[in-house]
Amino acid sequence: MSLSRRNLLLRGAIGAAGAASLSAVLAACGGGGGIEGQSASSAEEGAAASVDRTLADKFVLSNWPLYIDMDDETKKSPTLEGFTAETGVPVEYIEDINSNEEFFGIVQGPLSQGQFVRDMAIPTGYLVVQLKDLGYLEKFDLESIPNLAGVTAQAPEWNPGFEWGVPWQSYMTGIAYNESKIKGIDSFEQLLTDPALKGKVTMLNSMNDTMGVALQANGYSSSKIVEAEFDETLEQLQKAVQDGQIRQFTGNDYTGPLDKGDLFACLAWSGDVIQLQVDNPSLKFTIPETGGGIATDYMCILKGGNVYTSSVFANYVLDPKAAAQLSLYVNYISPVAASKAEAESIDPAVATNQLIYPDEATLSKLQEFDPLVVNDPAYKEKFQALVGA
Amino acid sequence: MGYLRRHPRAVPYVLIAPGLIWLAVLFVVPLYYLLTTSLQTGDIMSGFQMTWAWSNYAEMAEQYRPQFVRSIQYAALATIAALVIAYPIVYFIARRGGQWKSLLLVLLVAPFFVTYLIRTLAWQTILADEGIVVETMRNVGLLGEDGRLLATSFAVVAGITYNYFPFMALPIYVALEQLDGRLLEASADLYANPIKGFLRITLPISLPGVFAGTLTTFIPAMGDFVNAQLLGTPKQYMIGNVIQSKFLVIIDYPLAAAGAVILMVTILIGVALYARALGTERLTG
Repeated sequence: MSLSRRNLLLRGAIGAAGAASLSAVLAACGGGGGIEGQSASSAEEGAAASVDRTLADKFVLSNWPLYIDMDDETKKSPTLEGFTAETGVPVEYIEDINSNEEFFGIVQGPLSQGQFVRDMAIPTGYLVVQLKDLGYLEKFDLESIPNLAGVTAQAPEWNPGFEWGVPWQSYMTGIAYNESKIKGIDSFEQLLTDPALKGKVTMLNSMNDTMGVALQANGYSSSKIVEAEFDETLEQLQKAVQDGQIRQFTGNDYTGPLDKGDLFACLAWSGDVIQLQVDNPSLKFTIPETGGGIATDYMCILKGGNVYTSSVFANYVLDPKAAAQLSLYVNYISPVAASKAEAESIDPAVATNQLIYPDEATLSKLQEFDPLVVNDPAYKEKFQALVGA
Repeated sequence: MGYLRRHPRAVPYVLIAPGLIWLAVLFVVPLYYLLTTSLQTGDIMSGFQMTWAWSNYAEMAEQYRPQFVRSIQYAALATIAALVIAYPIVYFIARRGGQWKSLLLVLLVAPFFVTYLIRTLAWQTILADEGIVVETMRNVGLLGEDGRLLATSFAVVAGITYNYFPFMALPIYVALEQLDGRLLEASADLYANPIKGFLRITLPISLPGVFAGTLTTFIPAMGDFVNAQLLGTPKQYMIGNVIQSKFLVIIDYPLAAAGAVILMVTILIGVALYARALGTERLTG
């Protein structure tokens, strides 16, 4: 009975994903009243209840496209297959997170009404914070995730012991450039001022990525943001847009024009560039001396999702072997340090790649963007005014 | 059945009930939510409350006037361009297509079986700085050395024109297809030259198609945001981009709703004026 109900709701959600704008309208219609009733204290309720440690008969997982290992021939993911083989729980895997904002638009309506949407989703940290604060998340059953001990990163303040979100992969934000078009990029400032790059530069349409790098280029912190510094930096970018220096603010869609040479340089995500480099060796990725960004996508359990099954899944993917297999395929940074040794035995070249297993020197240049600012409507509005809407 | 036989006056109401329910569920209810949302204030964390905030409308209209104006301009340009391109093509298919008519029509519509997004991304490739179109135009001097097509207003209008092309072409096709050829023969018998025959017979008869085509092109084009996003720059963004960003990124549902209502009312007024100018009674009657 519960299974068919899940199926039904899921279909509805997939349909909504197809028409993002429609879903936004629906979410807005359904959302208004529901949110008022939510209280931030619903966060505590989850902790008190003891966890029912029986596996569900199905596990529904939402993720970004191309963000899991995939066997080219069978079109099946070894990670998901392995999890099912070990636990007997089949995974319904849905690649429907195209942006954090759009995904929030899809799930906000149903979640505010207390409906089941997915067991687990893998959004970026700042959205996890927002979902948590709205009471849309369940806590992980940390006792069922012994492999968390292998996670090297510090748990952020909002996520003690990783109870709200277990790291999936991290990625760096830096500068990509096409060596056949421009000799090299020394600094972020060059993107804004070099006449050779006029109209051939794009930035990312996500605040944390663009402002993160830009703030640090001015010598400011991006993990603890000061409003005056933010405004000053924003103004510089605004000027570069007006002058036609910055051509566009993009999501993943910078990859095509960068590859073709329409763009000489742009802000980019490390994993994208590694994938492009396979066919186009003239593409380079660099973290400016002033600093780059790092962000982490977290597995989190959406309200109504099965806590135990989700925790067992998180534990499965944090196993060094599984983690190595995943990172080698998706080319992002694994949260599990021990997976490097495993990765070396599979593919030594990739394991020494600074973009996948960065060393201390690289990591020290990266800052995680202030999550409070990303979710602050006043800051969002300022940044959206910059990107043209 | 017995009930209806005893109350024959109820029959029309029963017959229009499905339509009314459809309208109520899919139009009136959402519209009600849209209108009430547009008058709320608040934010996503603390919730939105109804405060009769008419200022939302003023705020949207003031702050995003350039995007509103731009939307009207782009949609109008795209509609005119689509009309100018579509009319001769469908005229040819409808009047001269002969046995190839169906095939030509399928060819016309075939690209639109591909999804909207992919079609728009294809234009990114066609108009690329290093692409064949721009190279050729540079070589013959139509574009300056560092001139470009992509990320300009031209690219956005071209994209909209292309994406809504079938909405223009098909209604005009239907109108022209129904044109009785004997009318043109008769006009020729009465010493009308082909141009006069076209202006006095073909064009007036196809006007309802043109009217329908311009509306079905202009209305969605006004709200479009994909073309501006993929083929333009922030300087080309339209009101659709603003509403989308308010809804999904800033998560300010009231302002987004106010923007949507303003857009809807603008279109309604525009369409009313247009219909009045062109005279729908004369067209359809």
